[in-house]
Amino acid sequence: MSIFKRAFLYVTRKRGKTILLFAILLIMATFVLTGLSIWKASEAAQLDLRQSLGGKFDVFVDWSNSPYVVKEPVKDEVDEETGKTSSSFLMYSTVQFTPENITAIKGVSGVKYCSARQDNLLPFDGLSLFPGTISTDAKYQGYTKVLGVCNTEDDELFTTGTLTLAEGRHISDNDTHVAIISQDLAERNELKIGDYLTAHRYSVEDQGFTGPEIRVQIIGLFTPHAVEQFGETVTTYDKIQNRVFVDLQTSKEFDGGEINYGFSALHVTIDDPQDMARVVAEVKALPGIDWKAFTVEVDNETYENAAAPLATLNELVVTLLVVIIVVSAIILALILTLWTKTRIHEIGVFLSVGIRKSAIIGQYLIEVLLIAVLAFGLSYFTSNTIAGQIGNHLLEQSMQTEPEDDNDVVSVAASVEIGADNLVQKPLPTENGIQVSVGLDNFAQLYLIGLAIVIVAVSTSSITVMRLKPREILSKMS
Amino acid sequence: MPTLELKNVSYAYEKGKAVLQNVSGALETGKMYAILGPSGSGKTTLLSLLGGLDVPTQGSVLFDGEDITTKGLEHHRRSHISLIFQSYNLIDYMTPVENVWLTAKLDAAPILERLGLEQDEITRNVLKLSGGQQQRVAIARALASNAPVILADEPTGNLDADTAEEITAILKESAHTFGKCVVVVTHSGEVAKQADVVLEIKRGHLKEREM
Repeated sequence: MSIFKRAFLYVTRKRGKTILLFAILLIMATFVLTGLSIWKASEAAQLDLRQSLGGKFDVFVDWSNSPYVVKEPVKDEVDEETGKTSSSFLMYSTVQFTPENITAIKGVSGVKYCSARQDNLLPFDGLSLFPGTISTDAKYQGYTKVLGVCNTEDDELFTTGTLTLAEGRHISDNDTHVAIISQDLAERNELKIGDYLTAHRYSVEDQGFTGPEIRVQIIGLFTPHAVEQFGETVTTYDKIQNRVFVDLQTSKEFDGGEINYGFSALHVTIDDPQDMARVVAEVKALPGIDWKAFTVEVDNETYENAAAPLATLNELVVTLLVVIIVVSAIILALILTLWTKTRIHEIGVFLSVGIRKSAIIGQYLIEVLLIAVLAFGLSYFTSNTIAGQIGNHLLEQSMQTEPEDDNDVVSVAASVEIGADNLVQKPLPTENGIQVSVGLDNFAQLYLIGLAIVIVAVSTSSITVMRLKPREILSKMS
Repeated sequence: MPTLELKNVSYAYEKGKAVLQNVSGALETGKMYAILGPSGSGKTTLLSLLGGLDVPTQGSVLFDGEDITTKGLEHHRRSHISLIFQSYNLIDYMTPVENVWLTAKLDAAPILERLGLEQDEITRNVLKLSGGQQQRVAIARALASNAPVILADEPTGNLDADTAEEITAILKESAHTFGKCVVVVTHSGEVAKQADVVLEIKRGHLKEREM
C-alpha cells in the first residue's frame, strides 16, 4: 500500500482528528494570510505615499558662510515724511546657479523637477491689476510680482496643480521676451495670446524702472486652482491673478544690472523620498557647481510624518507574523506530538512489516498537508473577510501611537508654503485607510510558510518516537 | 539448507543482564516451531532477533546463509519475515482487506475468505471484528506478504480455547501447506503439541525438547 493511500485512509477515517486539525490550520492560515495581506497593503501604501508626496530639497546661497557673498552699500534714501536718511545694502552672491546647472541636476536619476525663479516687483505700462486686500507702500502701487524662470512646466506652482495652463504654451528654456499671465488679468485688460506687455529696465540712478522699454509677448494664460479667501490679507503684487511669469533673459533685463545673472536658489523635487540621501549626494557630486557658495536644505518632514504610521503598522504586522508563525508551529508540534504518542501501536505495526521510519514520517506529513491544502484554500475567504478591517484598525492604532505634530499631515494633507503661495493640497493615500486584499502572491507565500510550519511541526513531533528502536516501540505497544 | 540460522547469538540488556548466551540453531521452511520457556527467559527477545527488530550483542542471525544485517534489518523485515502478535496489531483505521494490503504481494480477499472471514467482514473496520477474526486477519496479512518466515508471539494468548485451536491449526497449515517456516513463542502446551519442533529456553540457552 502506498504512502499516499495510507495517509488518505487516515485522514478520511479519523474524522474527529481531521476536523480538529483542519480548524487549527484554518485559523493559523487565516492569521498568516491576513498578516501577509496587510503587510503587502502597507508596503503598497508606503510606495504610493512616496510617489504621491515625492521628496523635496532646496539648494541656495549660503549667505552666512559663502566666500562669494558681497555686501555693497547703495545710495542713501531720505524719508519724505520724516526727513531721515537711511542707509541700505545690496547683498548678492557672485556665484549663482545657471540654466546649465539646472539641466545637469534634472539629469540626476530620481530627480522629478528642478526649478528656480528670479523674483522682481515691477510695473507694466497700462496694466490694470486686481487690487489686494491690504494697502502697500505708495511706491509699490501698480507693481506686480514677476517671476523669471527657465521654464514654467517645472515650476512648483504648475507641477502641484496650483496653477494650470489654460491657454497657449509654457515658457521653455530657449524662449526670450515671452510671458504667461492669468486668464483673469488678460480679460481685465482685454489681452490675448500674442499681445505684448511693456515694462522698463531698472535704473540704478533713478532707483526705479525708468530704463529702456522691454516688450514681452504673452504666450500663455493660466488659471489658479483657487484665489484667496474672503478675509485673507494679500497685497496687490502678491495676488495670484496679478502674477506674471517671464523667461530668465527678460527677467535679467528687467533687473538691469549684471549682478543677478542666474538663480540664488533651486527647488528640487524627487520621485522617492527614500532616495533623498543618494540624490542629494549625486547632486553634490555634479561638476560645475561650486559648493562653497551653496547649501542644501532637505524637506522630508512631510513624507516622514505621513509615512510614520505606515512604518509602525509594517513593524507591527511583521512582529505579529513572526509571533503567529512561531506560535502556530509550536501549537501544531505539541498537538502532533500528543497524537504521535497515541499512534505508537501503528508505528510498531508499520516497522514490523518493514516500512521505513522515513516513510512513516512521510505519511504523517502527507496527512497534515492534505488537510492543510484545504484549510489554506478556505483561508482565502476568511482572510478576505477580516483582513481589511484588521488592517485599518491596526493603522488607526499606529496613527494614535504617533506623537502629535504641528503638521497633522495625515489628517489634513501635504501642504507646503512658499512665500504667499499656498500650494494645492493633495490628499494622502492613507487618508481613507489602506486597501487590503488577498493576492495570489500572498497565497503562494502562505503555502510556503505553511509547508515550513508543517514540516517543522511534524519533524519535531516525530523525533521522540522515531528515535526508539523497533523492539522498544513494540515493547511499549505490549 | 536452513532458512533462518542463529550462530553463537548472545544478547544482554544495557544494564548487563544476559538474556541469551551463545545460542545456536537452525529453522527450516515447512515446519512449525514452538518456543517455550518461563516468563523473562528470553523467548520474545529471541523472536525479535530472528525478526530483525533488534540485533544480538554477539553472534549473528542468518537468512539463507546471509547475515540479515548485510542488506539491512528493514529489508529483512519487509522481505523475509511476517510478524503476528498476541494483541493482533492491526491498523485500526483500515478494513481487514486494507490491513492485508499493507504488505500484500498476493490478493487479499481469497486469503481472508480461506481463513474463514465472510465477504461483509473483510470490508468492515477491524475493530468491529472479534478477537479470533482479528487474529485471522493478522495471519492473512502474514500469509499475503509471501514472506517465507512467520514469527508469532503468543498468537493465541487472548483467545478462547476453541479459537486458539483454530488459529494454531491455521499456523500449522501455513507451515505444511504453504511451506512457511512458522516460529511460535507460547506458554501454551496445547500449541506446543501441534508444533513439529519444540524448543525451550532455559537460563539463556536454547534446547530442543523431546516430544
